[in-house]
Amino acid sequence: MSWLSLLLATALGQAAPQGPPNVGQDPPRLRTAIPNGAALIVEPAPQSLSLAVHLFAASRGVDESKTSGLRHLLEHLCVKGVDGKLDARLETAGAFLRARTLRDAMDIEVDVPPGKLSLAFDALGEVMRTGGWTPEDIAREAGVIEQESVLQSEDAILTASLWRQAYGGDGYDPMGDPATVKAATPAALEAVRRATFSSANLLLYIVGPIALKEGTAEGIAYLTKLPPGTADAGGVRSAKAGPGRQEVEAFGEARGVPVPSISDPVCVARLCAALAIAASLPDAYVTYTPSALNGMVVVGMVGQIGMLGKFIDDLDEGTADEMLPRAKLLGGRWAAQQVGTPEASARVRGHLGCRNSRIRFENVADAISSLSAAEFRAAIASFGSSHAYVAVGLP
Amino acid sequence: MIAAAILALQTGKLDVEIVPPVFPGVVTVEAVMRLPRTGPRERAELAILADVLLDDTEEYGHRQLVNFTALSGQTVRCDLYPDALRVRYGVLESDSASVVPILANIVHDSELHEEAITASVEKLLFQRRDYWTSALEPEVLKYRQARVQDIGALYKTIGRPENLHITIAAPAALGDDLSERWRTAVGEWHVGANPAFAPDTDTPKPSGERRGKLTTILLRGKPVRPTDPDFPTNLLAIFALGGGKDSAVWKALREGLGWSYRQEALLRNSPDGLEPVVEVVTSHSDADIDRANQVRPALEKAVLAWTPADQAHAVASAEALFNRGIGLDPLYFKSTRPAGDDALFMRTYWRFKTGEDWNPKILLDAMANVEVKKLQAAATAILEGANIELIRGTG
Repeated sequence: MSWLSLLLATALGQAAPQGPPNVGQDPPRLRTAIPNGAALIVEPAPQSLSLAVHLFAASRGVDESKTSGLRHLLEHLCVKGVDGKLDARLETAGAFLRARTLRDAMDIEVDVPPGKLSLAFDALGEVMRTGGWTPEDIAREAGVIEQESVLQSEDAILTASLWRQAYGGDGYDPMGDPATVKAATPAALEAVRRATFSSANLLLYIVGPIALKEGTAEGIAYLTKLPPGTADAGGVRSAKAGPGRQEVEAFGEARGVPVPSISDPVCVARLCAALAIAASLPDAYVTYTPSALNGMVVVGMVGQIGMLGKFIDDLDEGTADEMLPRAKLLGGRWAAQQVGTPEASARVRGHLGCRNSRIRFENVADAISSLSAAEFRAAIASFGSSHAYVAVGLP
Repeated sequence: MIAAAILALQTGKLDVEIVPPVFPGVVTVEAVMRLPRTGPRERAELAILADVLLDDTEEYGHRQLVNFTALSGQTVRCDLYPDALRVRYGVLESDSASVVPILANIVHDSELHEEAITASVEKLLFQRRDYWTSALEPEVLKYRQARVQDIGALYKTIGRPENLHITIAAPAALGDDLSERWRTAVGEWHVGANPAFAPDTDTPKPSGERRGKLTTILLRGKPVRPTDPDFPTNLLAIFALGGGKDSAVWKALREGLGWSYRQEALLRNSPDGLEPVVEVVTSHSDADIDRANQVRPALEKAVLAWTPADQAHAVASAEALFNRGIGLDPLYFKSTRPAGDDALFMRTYWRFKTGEDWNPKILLDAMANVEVKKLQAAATAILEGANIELIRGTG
């Protein structure tokens, strides 16, 4: 019996409607569960100029309400590699590494020239095993993170404040608390490293000019070498406080509405509402990261205070009905853009998939097209001052 | 781009190029307008012009322009760069008859109402910009001295056929029609002689400080001309100085000095060519002045230590960016933002700037042969010829 048959493989993507149009063809992407708890998704994209390999490490093993920012510190340190020169080696080989720490997961992406998958695997392996940091290493990088934290834009400050207001410690900005980062010990950081890179938290996403069969075989071979990880369901993010208004040190205003997972029509309706509101105002923005968990949709404006709130609070049901077609259009465009390129698809699907293997991003478009007037009115109303979390900049 | 699908129309004073659509079902217009040489008063007047240009036109009001173009996902916008005024918008392919009237109204028939200009002055005087924008555009502009009649004169000076460089991304079948419509529209303009123009000759001064916790240090080099034979060497020097995480700014400033999270070397728009800039962001401290004085010597030392490995790294970074779109983009042709990922804009801007097609392969071929000594000489010249500008955060 082939060892491959021990693995559970699931084809993802647009399901064939009826009949056999896909017979004899590869699915757009293939998810494979590895016995050690890790997962693999391979998405062939023959037209792509680079091969991108993402390592998503779900945050479920780390309680950030107590260790705010340690995953971020880990990200900074582990991507340096064992000799501190991983970036230099990659870039000279025409590759590029970037890393992001989000609330749901850390995403370490290595872009390599086509045919150089092993270069990406070697780099990610090095990232995961880099450790043994000294207090001096930590102090130095904590200083860099402190520098990074002061770069936060006004919209990011507004959004972070809304998350904290709604979700308390479960909603801390992944940038982290500088004092906690500064006080990190080597032992605490090592514990975060082990939890973060436990196989059960890992999803490897390979996207680019590679055949499905080849990418899957190589990805399985790579992931299978990792030791088994322990599964941790992770906490459920839930609102800790009711809506209300807070003043923030940022020049602007924003309103946030908690939403369930992206697979829930309520989330989609609120996102469409935010997009329609933002499109009605000059330079307004919407912040929402597609999530398998409870999250937040934020609509805001930077550089002025008052216009957004007045606009939203003046909306009535008739106006909401008028906004619905545009909301659907914008929502549809947003959904299309999220997965509009193979690279974008990997970021979204990997981020979702490392937390919940059952979520299908394709369903978002269906939810948008079937959005009813009543659902949309309710979504618009959720941004009203009596329902939403409101952040207003200090004058 | 498919060469066969491109119809170039460069007849006398008209520069319009039709290229294949960027987005399916959408006609996108990119227009770059050459600016006259200006002093700080005219610069303020141009900023006001850019702010009010879309407020009202002979045929379209602001709301119409926004709503109509928003349907395409390419809402109309107007941006001011040091050397150009840029207009971009999209319309649905089914509305392609509006493409030319909208452009003509914006560049030739805008109604510059005095009350809109007055409101714009108040807005611009108190606008808050992000740290990156305010660092790259630190000059104090004389908004209060702006004169309505001068703004009108500037508008007429800029909106002349010979100053307009236009690219329209549309299906080939629409190309002839759009070109003919544009030719007809321009033919109806009464442009007259180019008005005499005596600019304010004051040199704009940087602000010296900005509100907030961030201090920025700029080294602003002497502009280089993209048509000069040495341009590839200068461009490679910019990559070696600031392209990627093994560049001089990374090694000398972030890893070496450790007091900056973000530091880049870039080329940005200048009326005299392209201006090399090293930008370093740090949190405000009493050491700001000392830090500003450390930047140039630290970089010069790093440049002197360059080896063939640094040259190879710079070439690899340039190749990765131009061939595969990965890595840090130093081409800040949108004044405060990189432009390399916007093919339509790059195409139009490069044609405006050089009269040539944007062809990174030619640049890459030339950069690959630059010797280390020549690279060091170019980088050293950029650094030695640079002015230091310190914009201190007020804390």
